[in-house]
Amino acid sequence: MGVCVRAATIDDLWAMQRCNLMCLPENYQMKYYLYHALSWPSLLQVADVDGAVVGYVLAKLDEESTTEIKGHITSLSVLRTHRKLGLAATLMRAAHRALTECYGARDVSLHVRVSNEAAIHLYRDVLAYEEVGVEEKYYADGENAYNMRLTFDYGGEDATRGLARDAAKLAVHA
Amino acid sequence: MSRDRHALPNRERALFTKLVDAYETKKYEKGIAAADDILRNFPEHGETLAMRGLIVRSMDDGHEHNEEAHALVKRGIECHPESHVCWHVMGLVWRAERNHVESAKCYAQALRLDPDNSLILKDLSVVHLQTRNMEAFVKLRWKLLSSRRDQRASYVSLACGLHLTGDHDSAFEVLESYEKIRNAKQFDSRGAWRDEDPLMKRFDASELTLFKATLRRASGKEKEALALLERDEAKVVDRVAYLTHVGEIQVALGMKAEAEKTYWKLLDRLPDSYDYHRSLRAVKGLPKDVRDGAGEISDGDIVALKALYREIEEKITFCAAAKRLPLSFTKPGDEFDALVVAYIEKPLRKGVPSLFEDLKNLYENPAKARAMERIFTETVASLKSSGKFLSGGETKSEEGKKECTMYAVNLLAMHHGEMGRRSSDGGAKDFAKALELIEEAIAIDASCVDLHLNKASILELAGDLHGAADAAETSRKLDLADRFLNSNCVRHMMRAGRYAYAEQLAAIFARDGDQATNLYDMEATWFELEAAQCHTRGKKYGRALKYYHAVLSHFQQFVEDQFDFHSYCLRRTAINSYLDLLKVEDKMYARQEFRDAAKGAVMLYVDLFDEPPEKKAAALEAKVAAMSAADADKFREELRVAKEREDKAEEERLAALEEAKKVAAAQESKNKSPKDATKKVDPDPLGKALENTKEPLEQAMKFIEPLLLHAAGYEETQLLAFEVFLRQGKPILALKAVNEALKIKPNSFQAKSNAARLTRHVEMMDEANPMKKVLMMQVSKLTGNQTAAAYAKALADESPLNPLDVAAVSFAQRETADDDSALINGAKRTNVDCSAFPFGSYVAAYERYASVSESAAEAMKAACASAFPYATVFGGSKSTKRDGE
Repeated sequence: MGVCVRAATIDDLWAMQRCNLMCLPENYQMKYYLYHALSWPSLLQVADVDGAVVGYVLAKLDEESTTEIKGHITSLSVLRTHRKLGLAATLMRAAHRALTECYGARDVSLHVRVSNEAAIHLYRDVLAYEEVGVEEKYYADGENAYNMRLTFDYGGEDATRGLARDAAKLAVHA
Repeated sequence: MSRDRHALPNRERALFTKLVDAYETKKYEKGIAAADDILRNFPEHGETLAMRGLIVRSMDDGHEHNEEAHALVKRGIECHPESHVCWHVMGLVWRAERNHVESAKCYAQALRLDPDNSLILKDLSVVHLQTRNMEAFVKLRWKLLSSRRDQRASYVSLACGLHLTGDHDSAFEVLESYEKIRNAKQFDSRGAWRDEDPLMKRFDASELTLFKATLRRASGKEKEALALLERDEAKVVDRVAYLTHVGEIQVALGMKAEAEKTYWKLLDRLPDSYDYHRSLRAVKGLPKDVRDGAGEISDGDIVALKALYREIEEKITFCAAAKRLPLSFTKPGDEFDALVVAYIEKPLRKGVPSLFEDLKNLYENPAKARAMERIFTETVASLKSSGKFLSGGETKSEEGKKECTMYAVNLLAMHHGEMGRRSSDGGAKDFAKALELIEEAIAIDASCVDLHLNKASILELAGDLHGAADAAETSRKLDLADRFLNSNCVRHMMRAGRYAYAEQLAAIFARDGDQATNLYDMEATWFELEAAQCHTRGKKYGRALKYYHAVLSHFQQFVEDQFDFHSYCLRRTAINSYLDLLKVEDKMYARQEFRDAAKGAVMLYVDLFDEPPEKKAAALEAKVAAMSAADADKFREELRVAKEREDKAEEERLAALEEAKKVAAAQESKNKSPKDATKKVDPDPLGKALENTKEPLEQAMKFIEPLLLHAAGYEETQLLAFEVFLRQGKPILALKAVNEALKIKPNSFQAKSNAARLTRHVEMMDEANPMKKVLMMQVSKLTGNQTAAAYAKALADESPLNPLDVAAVSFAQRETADDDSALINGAKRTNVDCSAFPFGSYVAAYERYASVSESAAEAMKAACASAFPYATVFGGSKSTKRDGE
């Protein structure tokens, strides 16, 4: 059945944790998922195939920033069995939309492995993130991370631009 | 008088303040020093003793100093029983070991001594939330509100409590009065309302509006809820949550036209939410469920559905469901064929891996399955010969033609795999075809990862566990940096029983190298369940139990996890998610992964009760003793070879783990300062202590109790509970389990088999036992006054078809007639029809027989081997063999 990208519920968190453990080397305890979901309920998004979670994005607000609202992407992954549907971009845009609509966030940042070309392509070329720095040995295995950031544009075009285009990608079966 | 006795001089008073500060800022060493300083001169100062105990407990990760902590606090209370501090501290110590009941008692005692202490009131109120003592929570919150009227959390907490006790109207009033006070700017001048975060103002107002709507709806005031939402629409930042509420209310109020508009808006936002599609159809009087197999759809409805989905396609941009759902509600025939032809072309061109998964539920309709077979076959042929899709669409290049052909062949392979799974004769023919096709696709491009993943799933469906594991390994090697491929391979290796290698693979992505602890720390229940089941099949019960207990402890942790969020959420106003959290927590042990773990663990413990390790060893000795000398030698030699192989595997496993640890340690020291090397060593890595437990049934109850608490409505729960209660000699509880199971599934062969077994138990009870008569009356209601043996035989005569039912009835016959041949006869009766029962049921039944009787297992093998030639478990002729097997 088709894939629906929607805001995550508390009930989804266990499936998100499982998806994360299957796909990525950076893992978190349930309490950390709960912390995200209960602090910023509308920010977490899942890709749902008739009830089964096949991808997620775990987002938060930067707690160190007390004067401005800034978003941060903690983790993003999509099961390999559901690639080529553009889910990662759709999940990210849904998180962007929630960041702007629900919180009026100024920008959003994330870390990415310097070797992860596919992800860098997604953030830089598809979602228009900029590289703002390198964090040495950010990952447990010693790899460096790019620090990337996207500043939301409230003036001109809708900050949620591109959602319709994502839906188009989802509709690959057309 | 007594006050004086406990008062400290200035110096020590200052030290005591330092001690409390040190505790709160987690500077435990300093705290201990301050406490010791005080105790030097005042060794019986109760509050200092208690605080020292609390710090000892707080420093104690491994719970090794738990007793010391308790002793200190207890001594503190003895020295100063009228100190609320001592009792409060005792409550905190109990809290540290998650004993919320004891904790609440201590806080209550502390409150008796200091009734208005808001710190204790808050701590106690959190315990009430954790233990769902909502009435008591509300009482405390009223009290807290009267003293803390300048904090929003006071109002929100009380409203939540009232809501959870069912008093939604009072909850609503509390929130209204908060808003009134807030708007009147009361307390503002005093710089109060400090629990409001200026950055979160908009969000908090939104949450409050949604909560108020929830409250109105909970008390049946849907109209008021709607009016409130429409009035405060601008306040709600979560548009989807807003519209979802509005839609549901409109449906409840019968405002069909308005509801329809709302669901159009929601679909505009989330075009592929099947929930909103269902709701929209329902509002329009159309079938909610349009999947094949969900019931006949009338011709009129089909016409209306077609019109609706045409409209959705036109109005909603990029809605995949609008293309997919017509495949479900269109009847088989030319129109369906045309839809399928159009639907598969684009994903085949792109190589979308989920295409088959997307179509899978159409197979509920056999005519559609046949049509798809025809279309996929023709597509393959057409692509091969002319490079064209059935639509006439061309592939752009020779390369494109090759690729599209490969994906089309892959699709056809998956189709045959599914047909094999659904066949009524074991499906060997379809599986052969599926495997031939997937090899054909792989021959086109062996570097395509998806093809090997699919090959693994087809082989798994056919039951060839080693073949599947080998295919998964091939896919893994194509991209070593991909954890998904690694995880998938681990899973397949576990299912094939290749634990040592699976563990090595898992360690690659487990950060410490020492995967057992890392995956445990990360709560990787999927891995633990696979490992536990793998070890159960490999008869390594200790290790299996270790993994099952790991899952149990994760779930206990998940329940405990909510503790810190009670006050956090109420302070932060994330009320709506918080209420969801409570609901989810109250069903925690009903989650699939816990139920799977409980089932595995309980059945293991039950088997250990029936056949303790020492009894097994004795039986083996007896077996050897009965053999001729030559046979005995041969048998011993076999055992020796098996053990050698096992020892070698174990050696390799440990060596590989050591190696991985070294690599990880080297990495670690290169990158960061070494972590604390004091990581605890597991004293029982093989779970020997668990396996040799003298109380297997008590251990089993650790899994049964949470199941009965959260998952009593599942038949499986009642069946498992029965196994334990019967063996514990608790026939009344066993009877209850049978009755509950029959309530859930009135014709359950497994529950009825349990009725027969229980009847036998009652028949064997001592005549002098006064319970016998009462129980007899109860069980004869179930058996229709038959004896246990007669009732079991009658069940067998009904000839159940499900292999698990056949097994259950055979076990009942064996138990009621003391007849071991019943199992063998039952296993022989197994008839193969996978169209009705999944292959997994055959495997599960086999494992059931195998756990008690080798000859019954052999009989089942014989009954199944030819129908499942690929199945590893039945030793099928076509299953992939490994060296030494």
